[in-house]
Order: sequence, then C-alpha cells, then structure tokens
Amino acid sequence: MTHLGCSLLSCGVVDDRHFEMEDYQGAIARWCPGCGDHSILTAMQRLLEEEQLKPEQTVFVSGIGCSSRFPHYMKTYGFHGLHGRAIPAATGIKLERPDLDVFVTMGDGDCCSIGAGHWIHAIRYNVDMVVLLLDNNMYGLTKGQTSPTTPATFPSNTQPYGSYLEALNPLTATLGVTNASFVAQTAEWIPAHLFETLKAAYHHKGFAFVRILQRCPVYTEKIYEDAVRQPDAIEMLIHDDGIHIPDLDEIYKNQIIHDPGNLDEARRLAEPFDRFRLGIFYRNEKRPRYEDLRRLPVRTAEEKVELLNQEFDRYAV
Amino acid sequence: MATKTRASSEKKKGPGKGSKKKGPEIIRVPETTVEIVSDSGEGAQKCGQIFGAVCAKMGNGAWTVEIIPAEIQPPARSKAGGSGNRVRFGTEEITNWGDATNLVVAFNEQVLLGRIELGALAEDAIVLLDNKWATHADEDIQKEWQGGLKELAKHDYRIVEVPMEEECLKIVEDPRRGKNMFALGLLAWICDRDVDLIRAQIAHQFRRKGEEIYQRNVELMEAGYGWAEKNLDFRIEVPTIPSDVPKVVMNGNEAIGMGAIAAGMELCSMYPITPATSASHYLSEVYDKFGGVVHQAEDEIAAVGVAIGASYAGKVAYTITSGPGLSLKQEFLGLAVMLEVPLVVVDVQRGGPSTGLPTKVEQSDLLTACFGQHGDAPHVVLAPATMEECFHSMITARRIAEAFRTVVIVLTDANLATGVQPYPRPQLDARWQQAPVSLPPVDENVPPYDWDPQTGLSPQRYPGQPGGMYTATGLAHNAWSKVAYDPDSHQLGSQMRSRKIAVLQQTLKPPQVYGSDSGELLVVGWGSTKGAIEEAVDRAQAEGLSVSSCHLTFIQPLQPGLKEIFSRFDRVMTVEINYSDEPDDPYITDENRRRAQLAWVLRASTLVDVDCWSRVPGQPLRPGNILKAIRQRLEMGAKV
Amino acid sequence: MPSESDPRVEKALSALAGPIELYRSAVVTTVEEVRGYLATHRSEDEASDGGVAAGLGVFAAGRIDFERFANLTTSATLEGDPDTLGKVEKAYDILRGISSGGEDAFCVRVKPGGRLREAVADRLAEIGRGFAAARLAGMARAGSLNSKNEDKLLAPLGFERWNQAERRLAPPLVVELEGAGLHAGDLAEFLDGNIKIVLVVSGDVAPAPLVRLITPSTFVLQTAAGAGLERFAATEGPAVAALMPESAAQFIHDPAAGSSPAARLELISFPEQSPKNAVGGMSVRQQLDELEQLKTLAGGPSVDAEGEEGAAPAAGPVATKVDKLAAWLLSQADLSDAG
Ligand SMILES: Cc1ncc(C[n+]2csc(CCOP(=O)(O)OP(=O)(O)O)c2C)c(N)n1
Repeated sequence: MTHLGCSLLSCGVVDDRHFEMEDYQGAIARWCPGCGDHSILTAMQRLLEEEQLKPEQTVFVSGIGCSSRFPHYMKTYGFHGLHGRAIPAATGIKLERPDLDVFVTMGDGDCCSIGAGHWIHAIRYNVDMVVLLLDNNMYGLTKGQTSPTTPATFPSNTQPYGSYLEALNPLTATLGVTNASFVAQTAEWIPAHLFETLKAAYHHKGFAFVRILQRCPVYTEKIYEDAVRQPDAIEMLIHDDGIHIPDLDEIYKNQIIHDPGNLDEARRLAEPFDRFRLGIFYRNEKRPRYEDLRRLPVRTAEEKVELLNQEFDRYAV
Repeated sequence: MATKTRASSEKKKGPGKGSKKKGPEIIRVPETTVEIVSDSGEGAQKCGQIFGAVCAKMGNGAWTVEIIPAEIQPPARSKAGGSGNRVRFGTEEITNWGDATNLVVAFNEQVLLGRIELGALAEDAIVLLDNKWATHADEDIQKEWQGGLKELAKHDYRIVEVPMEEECLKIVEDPRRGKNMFALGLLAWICDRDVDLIRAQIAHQFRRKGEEIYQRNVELMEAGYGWAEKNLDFRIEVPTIPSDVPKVVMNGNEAIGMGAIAAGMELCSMYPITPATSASHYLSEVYDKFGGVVHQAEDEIAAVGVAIGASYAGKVAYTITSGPGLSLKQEFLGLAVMLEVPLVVVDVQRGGPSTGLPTKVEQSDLLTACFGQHGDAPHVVLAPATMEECFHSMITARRIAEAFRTVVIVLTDANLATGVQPYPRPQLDARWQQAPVSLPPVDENVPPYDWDPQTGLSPQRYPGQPGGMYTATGLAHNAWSKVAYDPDSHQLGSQMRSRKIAVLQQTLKPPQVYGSDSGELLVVGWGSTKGAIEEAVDRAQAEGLSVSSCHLTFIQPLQPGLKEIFSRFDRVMTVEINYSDEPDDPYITDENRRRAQLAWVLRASTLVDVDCWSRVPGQPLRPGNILKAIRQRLEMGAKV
Repeated sequence: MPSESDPRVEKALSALAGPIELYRSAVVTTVEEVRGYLATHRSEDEASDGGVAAGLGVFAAGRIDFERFANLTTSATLEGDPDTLGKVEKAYDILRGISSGGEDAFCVRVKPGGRLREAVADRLAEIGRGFAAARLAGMARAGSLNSKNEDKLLAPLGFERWNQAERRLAPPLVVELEGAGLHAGDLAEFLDGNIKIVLVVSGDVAPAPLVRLITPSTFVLQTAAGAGLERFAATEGPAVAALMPESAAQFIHDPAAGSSPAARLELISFPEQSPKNAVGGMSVRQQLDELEQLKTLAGGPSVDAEGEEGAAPAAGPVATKVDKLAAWLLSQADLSDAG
C-alpha cells in the first residue's frame, strides 16, 4: 500500500554493484529495422546506467502493442499486461511498493484510445512514475489502423481514404487535466534530447508524462520524414529549469524560452503549430501525489488482531 | 414452522377506549416474523435494522431482509413503493428469512396492499396501520383508505388502527422524520424488547448525527412504547435461551470487510456498485487504522487492474463488485490467471442480465464467475452461505489465492449483503494475517515459473528480489516467462495452470449430506439459500418425505465425492435463485431445457441427470415454496 | 518521561509525529518480515498441518484436508539451522521491543552537568541496536551470516557505524537540556542522513548557539513558540532545532529555500540585548561571534541575492562545479558501511 514502511532488512546489506548498460539489456529487441522504439530503448538503458538504478528495484509496465514489448527488452522486472491497461497495473504496483521505480510505456492506441480513461485519471492521481507515450500516430502491432493521434487525411487500413477526424493532441489533453505535474515532448531521432527528457522525467516526483514522437517505418514513415530531415521543423523549448542542450543549438535554431512553471504558457505552446515543439512544457512538484495523501502507518499482525477485536466489540451481542 | 399469532379467544376491544384493562393476551411462540413498511424515505429500514440488532443482542436467533421498492422512485402511497425491513427472530438459530410475516407495521394502506399482493403476509397476521389517512384533507386519499380497508377485510388479519401521525406530531413537526422510531417503540412493547438495548442501538445508528437527534429519536420510540402499553391488548413472547457463546451481529458485507481485514489484506480496489458498495463503505470508515486502503478507481477495469498490480508486487489485494462490474473485470481476471498473480474477487450478486435488479438477490453469476474469461482461465470459485461464512471465507480465499497463485472469486449475494444475522464471535488468529513479502535474492538459474511438474505450483517472485528479474506477460510464455508461441509451450503452460486447480480439488473433502445419506430426493444448493433449503428439508422430512440436501461451498473446483453421493438418491435437484426452464413449459424438451447454473456444472462434471428448480423473484427463496417444489418433484418419481 | 517534563516536549513530539511514524512503520514492516522468515523456517510452524490449518482459517475446517494441503502446497521446508534461527529470534525480540515501545524512545534528557554529545550518542546507539538486529536478520535471510560479525549485531550500534540507508531512516530525537549545556558542536557529527534533533532548552542560554551548525544542506531552526517546526519535520535531510526562550535569536535556515545563504536563511527576530555574561563556558565574545555570523548569513552581501534573478547563468556553472566536487567527494567517502 502506500505504506510508509520500507524494510530495514536490506539496509544493512552492502551493495557495491556497478551496472553497465548491458546489465539492463533483456531479450533482443524484435522491432522492425528503423523503428523508433529501438532508439527509445537505448536511451532508457543509458538512463538506467547513468542513474545506476538497481535492476531489481525497477519495473517496466506496458499494455499491448509494438511499443508495449518494451519490458521484455529490459533486464528489470516487467509487467506486460492488457491493451490500454498499463496505468492501472502500474498504479497498483506503486501503491503497494513505493520503493520501486516504475516506468510505463504505451502506444498511442494504448494510451489515447482504449486506455484514455485511465490516462486522464492517472494525471489526477499524480502517482510517482514515468509514463512514456510512444506515439507513432498509428496502430502498429495490429497492422496499420487509424489511431486517435493519426493526422487528419492520413490513410490507414481502416480509413484508406484518409483519417476523417482531427488528431487528438496528447499534450493539450494532459495539460488540461487537473493536477498535471509534468508534461514533456521529445523525439526519438534526437537521442540527446530524448535522453535529457527521460532523465528530467525520472527526476520528477509525480506522474511524469512524456510524449515521444516515434517513427514507424512501415505505416507512418511519411509523417515525421520532414521533421527528421529538416531541423527547421522543430522548435525547442529551452529554459534553465527545462531542457537545454547547447550542443544542439547549432542544429535546432528555432528556440523559444519557456519557463516550465508557467501552465498557461505551456497550454498555449502545446496547441497545434506548424513545427514540433520539444522540451518540458510543464513541471510542478508541488502538486499533491495520491500515494502521499493516502499514506498509512504499518500495523503488526498482533496490532491488527487487537484492533479488529475492538471492531467486533462494536458488533457484539 | 408457521407461527400462530392469532388470538384464540376473540376479545375485540377498540384500542384506545379500553375502560378497564385486563392484562394483555400473551401470544407465546418459538419464532415470529415482523416487518415494517413505509414509503421510501420514511425510515422503516432503519427501524427494522435496529429492531433486528436488538433481537440478536437479546440472544434470539435472527435474520433480517431489506424490503426494497419495486420501482426506483415510486410515488408516495403506492403499492410498488413499499420500503422497509423484515425481521424473523426466534428462540433458536434462524437461518433464513422464512415464509410469511406475522406482525406488520405499515405507514399507509397502499404499501401494505403491495406487500399483500406479493404474498408477504401470513393469513392470520396482525396489522398495525397508521390511520391518519382516514381524515386526510384530500378526499381521494380518504376514498383510497376506505377501499383499502375493504380490501383488508377480505383477509383474516387482525387489524389495529394506530394514530401514529397524531402521536408523533406531539413530539416533532415533521412526522415523516420520526414515525419510524414511534413504530420501533410499538414493536418493542409488543415483543417485549429491552429498551436500554434499543437506546444503545439508536445511539449507534445515529452516531454521526449528534446528541439532539439521538434524544428526539429516543423520545419518539418511548412514545410508541407507551402508546402500545396503554392501548394494545396482546403481546408476543419469543423466549430467549441465554447462551454463553459470545456473538456478533452484522450484515454480510460488513462480515466480508472484516474478513478481509482479518485475512491481512490491505488494498480493496473497487468501483461503486450496488449491492457491493456497502462493504467498501464499512472498510472506508475503519481501514485507515489497520493500515488498509479502499481505492475507488475510475472504473471496474482499473479497480481490478490496480489490485492485480499490487498483488504482483506484494501482498494479495482484492476487489469487490457485482455482476456488471464482474463482466468488465473479466479480461483482467484472465490476465491474473495467466500471470499467476493471486487475487481475491468478491461478487455480491444481484439480478441480471444488464442492470437487471440492482438491489435484489439472484444467484445468476455462477457461470460467468467460472467461465466468463476468454480462453482457458482455470481459477477458484467459492460461495459462503451465511454472514459468518462471509467473514471466514475471506481468510481461506486469500490463503488459497496465495498458495495456488490464482484468482479466487467469492460469490455472495444481495441477501447476504444486506441481511443481518448474529453468529459466534470469531476467535481471531494472527496467523490469518499475511506477512509482508520477503525479498531474498534469487538464483538466476531458477525460472520465474518454476512449475512443479506434478502440481503446477511455483513460488511467486516479487520485484525487489535481486537476480530474479523477469517480465510477467499475458502472452503465451514458457517457464522463463519468455513469449513462446510454439505448441509445446502453450500446452505446458495451460496444463500447469489447470493442474493447480486439480491439486486444490485433491485437498478438499466431500460435502456433508443434510438428512439421511440416501433416499428419494437430494436437493443441492449453494450460497445464501442454505438455511431455506434445510428448513424445507426439515419440514418435508416431518411430512415423512424422503429428502436430504447437500450444500456446496466450492463451485470450482467442485468438492470430491459428488457422483457417489448422488448415486445414493433416486433423484437429484438443485435449488437456486437463477433462471431455468420448467420441464413442462411450452416448447421445452429435455434437450433444449436451459437449466439452473449449478445444475449445468453438476451435470457436466458428474454425468448425473441433475434436475433443477429455480426462480428469479428478486427475493430470497421461501422454505415453503421449496417444500412445494420438493413435493412436486417427488411425485415425478425417480430420475437417476 | 514526557509526563513530568516540559510541555514543550509534547509539542515537539506532536510536530514530529510524521517522522516518528515513518520510522516506526519501517520497524514494524521489518518485524513482520522477520516474523514471516521465522514462520517459514521453523518446521513446526507454517509448513506443518497445524500451521496450515491456522492459516486457512475456520471456513476451511471440515472442507479442506489440512495434511494434504500441507503436503501438496508447501515447498520443501526451508529448515534453517537452529543456531541461525536462535539468533534471528533474538533479533526479532529486539525489533519487536522497539516497535512496541512508546514515545519515550525518542526523548532524551541531559542531566545538569551531563554532556549533550554523550546523551545523544547513547540514545542513537540504542536505536542502532534495532538496525543491527535488522542487519543480522537480513544476513540470515541472504544466507550470509557468519560467526565473525554476528555477535556485534545484537548489541548497541553507535551512530558512527550506521550506513547511509540507516542514517536516512533515523528517527527524530527530542532532547531536554539546560542552556548551559548547549554546545552546538556536540551535535555536528550526528547531522547526516535524515536525522532530526529538537533541543528543548531551559534556563540561561546563548542567543544563537545553533548558528554554528548552519551548513548548506542542514535545516537549522531556533524558535520560541515552535513556529517552523512543521517545516522542520517535513524537510528531507538532516535537521536540528532548538526551542529557546523569547530573548534568543529566532531564525530558520532551510536548504530547500534557495541556493545562497541569504535565500536560505530567514531571520525572524534578533535579540534586543547583546549578551553580557558567559553561559556554560561560552564567553561573551563567542556569543557575539555567533550573532555576527547570523547577521552575515542573513543579510550577507547581495551578490547571490541578485543572482536569484539575473545573474544565475554566471553563478550556475560555478555552483554545479561545486556540487559536482561535493558529489565526487561524497562518492569517494565510503559511507556504505561504516561499521
Ligand atoms: C482488448 C483488446 N482490443 C484490441 C486488441 C488488439 N490490439 C493489440 S495492439 C493494438 C493497437 C496497437 O497500437 P498502439 O497502441 O498505438 O501501439 P503500437 O503497436 O503502435 O506501438 C490493438 C488494437 C487487444 N490486444 N486487446
């Protein structure tokens, strides 16, 4: 539960392990060559190495989809559950075991369509976890159906004459929910930015939502083609409290200074625009976290028996 | 045991104008059934709950049932609008709601007529009726009243008109808020209940409402008591036998909540649904101090998902729901079975399908509980039969879930959930509590599903255990939890998950037969119908009929020995509260007959031609009706 | 102890309820874990029919064959060797004693003439006994208990031998003492991890003794009425507070409040009269020096105050360099297992 109690038992055990990137590598990734998920996996393994996260204290939770294979490719604990339902499982894990570092990976169908209800409410709960939306604008695993984030007019197997609806904007959606505490966007083809974003998300205490623009070489290659080739299609949000990678200044010249503490501005910047904006839109660690609000003392078995006996007294005949 | 409450000597005297009062006539009975009905919102339910609790506290056996309006927002003074509570109490243990009411307090004649149409009243019932309607300003209402009295006169009831409204107005301005306590006072005098206990119970009921409300309610109750003492010429005496066994009294949902606490479960992840919700209300009130949390999720899917996530990472968690919620949880239940994550699910059954009868009892989730998941998802289903078993079954359920790394569904129903029954106070044991998960390092050469090839069992592994990293997956997997689509892996995984259930079955004992070991008819039941079935069997045996019964607790796996038990009877029949075609219904043949749910399961697993008698009245079954079915089936002769 | 003492002790304890519960919960969790360990390793317990029967509860009676259940479901008994089990049992008793102890465990009184350092060190060592017992049980569980180190582990464990994890879990202490005995330097060595010490000071006292303990990551509070205690209790990291007479300086040094000393230090009141007499061996000059230091830190040169607004980029890299250096130094210091 959101119990206060961590155990003393492992405190005394000296842990001088050092982890290399290989130590976080699970099964060989089976995504298509050119799939953006590979780059996200690498960035994630780099993050774990840099942070020296203990593999056994780390859990990757996912739904169903190409992107949801992620946990299998990490050598940590993993929970590969149901389509759209990664967040409830992750919430249960974190409530029961606040000592664990929990990462969630979801596809755009997973998060924004079938799992949309959980997504909205999880933002409100603001349970401490890193939540990655691997957004390829398409259903990948089931082979090319329109997703909520597919751009209007973009064809798929279910809407071959082009998507009928305007795409849902995961950023404005997230920023619009009460108690949002961390919202960022990055792109898998800019590894340095991807890495820094993941790192910032990891260090955020609360529900850290990162939308990662992700290429699918099979179904949505065209969508990000320009953005990959022309840095001009990108606009970086930079700030001392946000992300700023000087090495990228040369390449990505469109920059805008944005203070992640400014929610109104974040919402404005998240609106559709002719460039992709990358960076931290919003961050606020002061938002209440569900697990803190529901923190409870731990009781021994004997204490519980005694308390329950008092309960029975109330019902005694 | 039909209660004879009718006075043998007619000494009719208009209540109130008693000139010289002799002592009241004493009607001494081993048990009686009392009910109180009103328009909804007039508090008859509270009155009944307090009365029932007081009976239990005085040492009587008791069983209460809520009377719920047939319509959602019934108009005032309508036959469909009756709301209240029915209390059957007796000298000895009472195991079900019985057949008919012997004493009723009604706030208006229309709700009373509604109850009569439902067959709720015994032919010789005593009726106390508020007579304010006789002089009501609205002439239509006066006419209805007159008509109602004529209707009542067709029966053999003993009717007492009580100026309830008038008396209550002496104390409160709005008698709608107070008549119930006045009625409680009436019943208290008639049935000679302990007034101190009543006061204490009123204090408990209104514990969050403050002293003033308490005082007023007590005053109203005492007024009712005083009025009855002055004006009534009969009393009902149900002796109590003092017992040294300490008892507690509560409804089944409270018992479930306490059972969960006693079992050491600390996360109840739920989404509100009648009639399951009150369990989480109870838990929410007290759970904090036990270090427990009621997590109200955004929907039933999330609720079970959170519970499974928690169980995967630590202590066994649970979810409480009812039919529609169970349907939503099914995909996740399949996942829990696939991942071998322990989980307890309580399904407080109500009438279905769809929204059905949200507040009323039914036993129609048995098949969906057993087989509702897609694919093959072997797991455990068990069904407590009493409030006491609601409590104790949670401890066993949690332990089985953990030992077998599987889902355990506990089927209760609206009858158990809202009914109140005293039972022996449990002797709590700290060993029922679950210890926190231990996180020792794991040998990297041992797979996460280290199935014992014989039993399919393997120890659970938790995040935090060094060296034990694996990804639990809902995809077909091998012992290493690696995705494996090859034929052998899926065959083996399926086999291991199924084997566990067989192993559990091997630890079970055959069920007891109630009555003689062999005979003409065996009635098989499950869940809350136990008391009614056994009472019917008692009565049938008293008539010289050759009937026994057998009540099943484990539905999946079934307890062993059923086939052998069935073979000792000429005919086997289940009695259930779910739908089945009757053999002589139009178009019904032996081939196309849709049978009651347990009957399907028993036929499939024993190859015995198990018959069934089932109804969906939205009420518990009455022993008298079961008795009729027994007689009727016996006339049909042998069938095994 | 709280009963006969200063009402301010109660006040401090209730402000510290959160950290106390945190510590208590960790101990209780540990107790339950060790209970679980003992249960699965003592053959007469869990794995036996009786243990199984008890665990399955009353509902199972008559319905489940306990012997069969025990045979089929419990994996081969993890029978531990009696010697180890005996020690784990002792550790269990120690932990249980701690978990069922009241608030007295967190209250210390320095006798007139006694040393603050000794009193605190002794109590922490007593608390350390729990950590040591947990270490023993942890090693037994991991199968790495060897006879060399185990005896020490059933004895008090001085703070100097606590590792980082243990220091982070340290419970708060409320220390009653006379002003004359308040030698702030006595506490310096204990201000690490998450430790929280509240001094309840009576009698004559220097006006700003805790100034000597101000370091960038230590929360330091001097207060008369108790203002700031909540923030003190909620802070992460080492913290020390003194409940002082009205005449003393009152201030809050909160590491989370900023990066410069001035931003971190909030001066609430400054003594109206300067010290005239030596207190407990602290000369007037020493006391004045403390006050001077307090002033400097609070109103100090405005370089950094400006830095908050415009000059951050310039200060930034320097600050990070310092941070990095500090981090490197920390990583070099072997704090993992000082014992
Ligand atoms: C309940 C349910 N409905 C449908 C599916 C089929 N399904 C599997 S993955 C998926 C969509 C995958 O798309 P996305 O979430 O965007 O992830 P991607 O494969 O693109 O990474 C669907 C519809 C399923 N597994 N479960």
